[in-house]
Amino acid sequence: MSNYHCDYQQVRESGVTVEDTDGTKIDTEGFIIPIIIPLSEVGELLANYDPASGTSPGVTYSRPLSRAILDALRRKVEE
Amino acid sequence: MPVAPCFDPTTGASGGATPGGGGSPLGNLNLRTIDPSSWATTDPDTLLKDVSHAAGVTSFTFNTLGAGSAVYTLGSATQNFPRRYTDLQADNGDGTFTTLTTDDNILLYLRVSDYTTAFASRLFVAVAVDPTSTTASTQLGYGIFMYQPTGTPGDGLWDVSSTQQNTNVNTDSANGVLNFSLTRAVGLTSFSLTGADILLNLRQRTLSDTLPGSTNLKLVVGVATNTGTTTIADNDVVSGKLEYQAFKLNL
Repeated sequence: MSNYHCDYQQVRESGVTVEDTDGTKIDTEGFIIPIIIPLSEVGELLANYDPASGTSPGVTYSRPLSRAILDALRRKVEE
Repeated sequence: MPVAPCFDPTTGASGGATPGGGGSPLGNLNLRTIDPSSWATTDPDTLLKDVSHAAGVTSFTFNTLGAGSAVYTLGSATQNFPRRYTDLQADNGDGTFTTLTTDDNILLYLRVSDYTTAFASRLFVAVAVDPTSTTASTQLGYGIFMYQPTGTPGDGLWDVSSTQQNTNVNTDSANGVLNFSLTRAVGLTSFSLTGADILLNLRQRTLSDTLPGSTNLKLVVGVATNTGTTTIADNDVVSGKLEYQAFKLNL
């Protein structure tokens, strides 16, 4: 079972004008999905992420994260 | 030896003053209708032709904006949209007012209703640190708005240079709750209501921005464009009922 979770009650569909992590301005319509990453997982997760590599993070980390996001998205869309 | 209250200085009733000071009835409090027709103006590019107020509704009349620009949007780092402002004050309930500063603990209710617009505008009520500045991170504006990108109205929140918004055909008013603690903007909740005051959309944003100390906060109203390509025709009018209520809390 994944250790990554979503605060589902906070999932919102909204128009947004916000700043991305790299400072890029984002102006779009979309879903806001808060993901919870346990503090105990942060060290290992970042140690295994190389932002310069197009194949990072590996499936061990990317798949559970993706599933947490996609499970929330699917439930919200189907509501 | 403690002093026992013997009568209410307002009503004369025995037992001392009503909790809360005996001033405004906090259990049945009206919003304060905003009339910005004589407030100070920031309008770097002279988009405003006139501001008038009648029957509780404020109308902004515009000059031509032939070419849109991001600087007229709430989401821009540079903010040249027209606005009017005055000191943010809390009603003491006795005909006097307390000017609120960044050193106060404050709760605010903001509301926009009766919104009509001739172009894709965003009519807002907000609180800012320095509404004279065209730099978003200096202006430090926080508020709510109504907008109508096409035929469907909507509402949203404004946090310095970020926004969140939704349209809904039943949107009748934009409402918001904003709070400040000592030299901090804390949080903003905004939500839309139907004409029967039934909840439609809502969104929340944690702020936690550091504000300069000992600075008078400003109540700000104005009109931004919906996008950086929005244009305005000469004599286009944006109007709405703008309201607020402010509470200074002694913790």
